[in-house]
Amino acid sequence: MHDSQFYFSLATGISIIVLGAALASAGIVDWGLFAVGCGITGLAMASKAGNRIKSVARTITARRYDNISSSR
Amino acid sequence: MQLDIVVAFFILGALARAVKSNLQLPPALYQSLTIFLLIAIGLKGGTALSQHASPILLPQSLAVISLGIAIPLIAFPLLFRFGQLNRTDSASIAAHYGSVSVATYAVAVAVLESRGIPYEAYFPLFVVLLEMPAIAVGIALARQGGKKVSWGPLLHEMTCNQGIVLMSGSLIIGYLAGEQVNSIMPLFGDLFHGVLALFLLEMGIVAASRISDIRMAAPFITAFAVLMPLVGAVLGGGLAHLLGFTAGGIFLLATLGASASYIAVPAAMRTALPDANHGLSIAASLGVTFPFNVLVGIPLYLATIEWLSKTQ
Repeated sequence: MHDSQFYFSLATGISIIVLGAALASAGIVDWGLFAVGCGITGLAMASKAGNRIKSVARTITARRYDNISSSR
Repeated sequence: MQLDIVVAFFILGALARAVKSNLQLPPALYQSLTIFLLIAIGLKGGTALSQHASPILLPQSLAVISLGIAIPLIAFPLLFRFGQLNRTDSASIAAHYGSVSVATYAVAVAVLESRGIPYEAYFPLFVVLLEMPAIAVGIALARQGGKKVSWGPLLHEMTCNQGIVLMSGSLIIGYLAGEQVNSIMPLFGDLFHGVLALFLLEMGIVAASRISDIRMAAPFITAFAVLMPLVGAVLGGGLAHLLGFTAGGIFLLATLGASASYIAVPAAMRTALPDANHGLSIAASLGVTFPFNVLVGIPLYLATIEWLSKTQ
């Protein structure tokens, strides 16, 4: 996921959380919109964390491969 | 907030898919239900148009067309700049969001009718008008990247697709038939909500099966597919307010602005932009935006408009 995609998703999620919380607190709607905002924010964070874990795993694998290659 | 009964069938369909039930509507029945809804909406709009036809409809129609042009122009840079999608995919998805979903409109009408809220009954005219401009804008945006388009088949697809033919045809029939429409209304009027419930049952199954298509672009596409309806609803609602519509009319135009096409535009885009990622467009419009509008958006737009009209 590109950084711009992540920041867009995060900004959208947080904005929807704020909007949803404001509308629900005022008793205009239920907490559905707030929950959608939480879902988008969570999805963005989880995706970013997943990418980071994959990147670290790739680095570790590459280093191990290099170590094995150099020891031979 | 109480759940609308037709929306409950949408949830049932989605749940059936989630638990891997073998629930399935025959494709021919789904096609028949679509035809029924298009004719029912068109007839109703035509009858209302014959009673309310006035010169004011012309500026209103032009304003509604401008909404259909504005929404893809807002969606495109979001997809292209933030989403890092290529020009063709960005233009194709933007076109989907500029056009409208008849099913979402039908749900909005069902909600208004179940609550007894009056609205401008000639709205199907605007539904027909909103189908096409976004396709042209989407193609123009894609062409800026040097993409060549064969206009003949595309114009045919834009003007002669099933949705446009049935709805505009029924609109004209309803307009010309006058009192005679009453003879077929036991079918197309009284059964509307029941047929819509069946249609939404199938849509729930289809929408739930489309969510997995988003895959890698999940966070961005999901965020976009939720943000755009909110932007479209504000634009549509604001425009309807400026045009002096009733609260029901403001709600309907907000819902039309919020909805995204998943029938007419995909067919046109397949013809105009064959190398676009059509799966991504459908997944966003049908897998995210349609369920969002039906479950969260429509109650939100209605409650907000009712609250705003009380405070004024």
